[in-house]
Amino acid sequence: MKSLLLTTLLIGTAAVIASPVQVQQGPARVYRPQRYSLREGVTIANKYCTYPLQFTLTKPVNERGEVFAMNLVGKKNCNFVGGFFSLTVNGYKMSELDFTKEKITRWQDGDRSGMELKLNFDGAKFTLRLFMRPDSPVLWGSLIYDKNSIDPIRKATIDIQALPSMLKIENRKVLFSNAYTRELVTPATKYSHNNKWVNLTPADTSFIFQDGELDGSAESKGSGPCWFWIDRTNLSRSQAFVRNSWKIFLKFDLKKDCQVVNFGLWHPAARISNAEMAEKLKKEPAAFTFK
Amino acid sequence: MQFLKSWKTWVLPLCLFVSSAVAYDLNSPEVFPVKYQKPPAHAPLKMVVNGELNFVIAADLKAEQRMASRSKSAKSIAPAIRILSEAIEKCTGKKVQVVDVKNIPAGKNVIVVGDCSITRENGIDVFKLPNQGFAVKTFPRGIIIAGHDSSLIDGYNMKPLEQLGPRTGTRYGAYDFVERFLGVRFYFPGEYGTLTPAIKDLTITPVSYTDAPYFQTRGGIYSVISCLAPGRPRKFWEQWLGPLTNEDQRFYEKLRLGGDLPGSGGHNPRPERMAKSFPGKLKTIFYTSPGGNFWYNPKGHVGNYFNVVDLAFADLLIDSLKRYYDSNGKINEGGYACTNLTNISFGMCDTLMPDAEVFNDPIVRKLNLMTVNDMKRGANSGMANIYARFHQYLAKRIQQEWPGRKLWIMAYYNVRFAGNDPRWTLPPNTEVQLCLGDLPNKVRSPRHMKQMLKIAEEWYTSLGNRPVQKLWTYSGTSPFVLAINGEFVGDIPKKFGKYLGNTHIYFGQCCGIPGDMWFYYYSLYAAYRSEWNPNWNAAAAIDAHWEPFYGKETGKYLRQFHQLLRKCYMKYALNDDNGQSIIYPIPELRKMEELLAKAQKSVKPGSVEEKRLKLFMAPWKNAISSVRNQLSYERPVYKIRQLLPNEKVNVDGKGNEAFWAKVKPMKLLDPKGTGTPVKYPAEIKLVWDKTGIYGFTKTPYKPTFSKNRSVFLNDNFEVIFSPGMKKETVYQIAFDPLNQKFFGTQRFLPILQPFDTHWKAQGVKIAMVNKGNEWTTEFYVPFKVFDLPAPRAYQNWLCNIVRNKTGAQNEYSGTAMTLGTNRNLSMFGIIKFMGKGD
Repeated sequence: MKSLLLTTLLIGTAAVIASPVQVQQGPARVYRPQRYSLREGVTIANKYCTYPLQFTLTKPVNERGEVFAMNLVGKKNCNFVGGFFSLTVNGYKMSELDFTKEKITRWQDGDRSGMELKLNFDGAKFTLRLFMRPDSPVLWGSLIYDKNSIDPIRKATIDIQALPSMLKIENRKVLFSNAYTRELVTPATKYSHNNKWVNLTPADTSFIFQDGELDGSAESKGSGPCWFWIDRTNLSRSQAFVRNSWKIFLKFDLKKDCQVVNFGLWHPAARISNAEMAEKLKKEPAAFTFK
Repeated sequence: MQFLKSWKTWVLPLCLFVSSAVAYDLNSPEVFPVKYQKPPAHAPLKMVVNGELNFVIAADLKAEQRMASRSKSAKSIAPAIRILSEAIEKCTGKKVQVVDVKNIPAGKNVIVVGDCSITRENGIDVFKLPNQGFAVKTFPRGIIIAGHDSSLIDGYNMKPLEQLGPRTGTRYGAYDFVERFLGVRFYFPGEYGTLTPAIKDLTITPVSYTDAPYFQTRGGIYSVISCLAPGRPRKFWEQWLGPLTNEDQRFYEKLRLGGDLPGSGGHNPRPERMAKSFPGKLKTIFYTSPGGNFWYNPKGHVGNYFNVVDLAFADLLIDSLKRYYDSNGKINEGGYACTNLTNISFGMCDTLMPDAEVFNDPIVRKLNLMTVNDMKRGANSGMANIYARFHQYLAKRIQQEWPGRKLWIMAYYNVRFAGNDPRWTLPPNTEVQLCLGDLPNKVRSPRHMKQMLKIAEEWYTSLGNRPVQKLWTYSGTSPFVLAINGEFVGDIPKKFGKYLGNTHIYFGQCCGIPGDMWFYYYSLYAAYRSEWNPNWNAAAAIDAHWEPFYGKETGKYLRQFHQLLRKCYMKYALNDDNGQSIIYPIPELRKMEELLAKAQKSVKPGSVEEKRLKLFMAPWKNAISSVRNQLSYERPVYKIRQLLPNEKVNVDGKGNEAFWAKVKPMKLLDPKGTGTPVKYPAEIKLVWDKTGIYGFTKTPYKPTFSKNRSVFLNDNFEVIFSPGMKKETVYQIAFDPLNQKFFGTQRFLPILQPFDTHWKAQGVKIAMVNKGNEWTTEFYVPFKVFDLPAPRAYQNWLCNIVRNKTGAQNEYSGTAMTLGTNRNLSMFGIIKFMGKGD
């Protein structure tokens, strides 16, 4: 499994050498490919970072139908690995939607390059654009409501989840809870363990997902934090869920008249400590600003 | 014993090699075990010497002719002479002389056939032998083959409606002789199917034995005759069996099928004949449920249900039978079959009645004929005492009207279980024909046998400690079972013991006409011959036939292949409950393929063995592919387009709405999983809106149909939905080019219910256009017929759409690999209700 992830990472890395932002699309390499009826990979990379994205449609099993998933892979231990971004619109989860390869297209605008994914929530249509630019390690995103939609947005929610630093394993057993010091750091505050969803303030515009102990300062302390930013302009409500658990969750409700939501995420290519990330964000604001 | 075995292994070949002095093995596992008597004392009989025949066939050649007007029976002696003559000629190349017993030439030995002065002089009284039995006995000048022949019985079967079968003991004796002494083997019809070893010398040592069938009636004749009938069936089989004639339809005789008892059991009366004869009494004849469902289907057998709750129906039957008997069968209002001077049969119409349809019937409630405990006895047990009451009444009426005559009942579906209410015990003039479904396939499974024995024991008790006299067994449809289950037939009487009599056994074919029976001739050979003698070692006989029949090398591989089939069935399938769905691991399939490939490679091109191998090989490519496909089967997912608000369907059968052109058709495949491409494709498309599902079908060729046939016998589509993915309920909608419809439903969860053919499906619309060479339909199935709200977008349902093309070029296809069982939910495909604009 690990070697597979690394191989994927290497392929993605190799692709970035030629130009500032490299986008490569092809069949995704997945564990147990026989479980999938469709598996497509898109790797977006620049000299700072690589984001191997996988789009899969799981075959029906027993009472479960096909399941669509969009994952970030290729990074050992942490961060946005897994279902980092999902969207629920008018009661329909992204995982329920239909997926075909044709729904993915390449996207480029100047030196910004990436991909677009078409999403249709029973008539409420969106385009999810994910891209990089040469000067930033961030994977930028824009969720754009399609004006030709048949249905309006009645209720739409973006779910973000991240696994900071590392997942603990003791005696060959993964520890999913009660073994962490998870923290969500925003420009305004630091959210610590709390077993309920808390409303975010307007000042909470960007988020560092980190662990107070597994701070990435040494190999034994995981790979360190990751970062997420979202433009709150078209959002009606924003919430966070931080607890003594493996993942930290964010939830953003879109306004009914929302046309676009921009966001960005960065999971560093190499280990980084909590302090180093804070310092980098402070020192290089342009690289972490949406353009 | 070991000594005997080892003695045989070297003495027999030695004898064969040295002089052919004893070129036969009386106790070969390939021939039936018989009862030996003390052999007469005389010198061995040199019958064939250095290729020359040293004998004639002699018989009382006019005996059967003399009796022709006094016995209504098939002949036995004349066919026996023909069987012997043909076999002798094939084995020696010489025609044998046939003479009357009065004209036996001097200096020649003789085969005496049938009853005659020589037979009697040598102590054989053919009429003291069991019915259909025979004796084989040497005497100083030759050998006698004589049996109990009804063709020689004065007055046999001469009464109207006596309906006795022939006793052809001599004919059976002739078959036994050619098999035991000449080594002839009759495996399948046609010129390639009989093994006739070359004989240069034949000396018969003194011997005397008798034999007779264990089961008095050995069923299966219909299958043999009908699958070789002139026209399409014969043409089909000629591809593998070579040229066939009407004589080949009598191949059943070689397998010892037949019997002398008058017919009994069966689907009697015929519902269509009853309805025609008594148009004003339909409500008396057919059942109407308290909910108003009238179980009468004017266009078919299935779907009718006799009104066994109302004894007035029994009275109507008795009155009708009186007219039948009084007119010697000329007035036959019920299409009565298996109804004669000995037996009166009462059956059913292959229709399973849900207990819920009967439970609240006023008579049932008043007499407490169905209880919760009744329903707990097993699947479809609820009506056991309703039937017991009806059978008891009918049997008593028969006894009053025709003392001594028996009522035969068919015990299957709702009559599978014997009544256990002491009020309704069966009178002594009742006999039972039982069909348990899992026989012979599960006879070696202790778990399955425990259940079946319990049912048989209950019938035994209900009959006043008398056995079930007739057992129906079925071949099944899986090649992996068909190829070996014939060997199990002989186990049945041993396992059932005192609960099964020896009147009748039947091994039925499940694959229609022309069917597939000869592809598994070796299993059929075992099954049918086991009906004659269950103690015959069928497995050993099959094992012994491969090399003589196919040549040494090819035969070796085929024997290994067959033994692998046996091993796999016992290991993987015997104890499961998957019906005909046989799944063997890939390595076992690979071994099978390798053995078949070796057999194919080893056979001599152009030889008769190659022709035989072609028949043997015919089913296996598809059969093995089918298992591989089952192992790799992924439910096909069909994405149903959602209609946009401005798109409407006019359900007129034309399909001219613009959007249909954009809709992708469902993929049709062979439901049995062979992977064979569909030859007669049909376009099947589905769309949906929040009110229901719309469908469009198009067959670009002339459909086959008749107004006299029911929907299932015409070209048709079967649209089967199971809402959700939990396999709770199934809904079936079938329609044909005449827009005849069938609606049915079955609930599987939380409690399994029988299939309900009275589902109203109100609101379903089906319209069609038949342009002669093209048949298009549109249908609409509102969600409300499922008692469900409209599904959410992206919800999944299970679905199977079946296309049955009938007529000469028939084809069965579907959208899911259901292994031939259209409502096999576990193999259904998935339909996904797509969102607007997807």
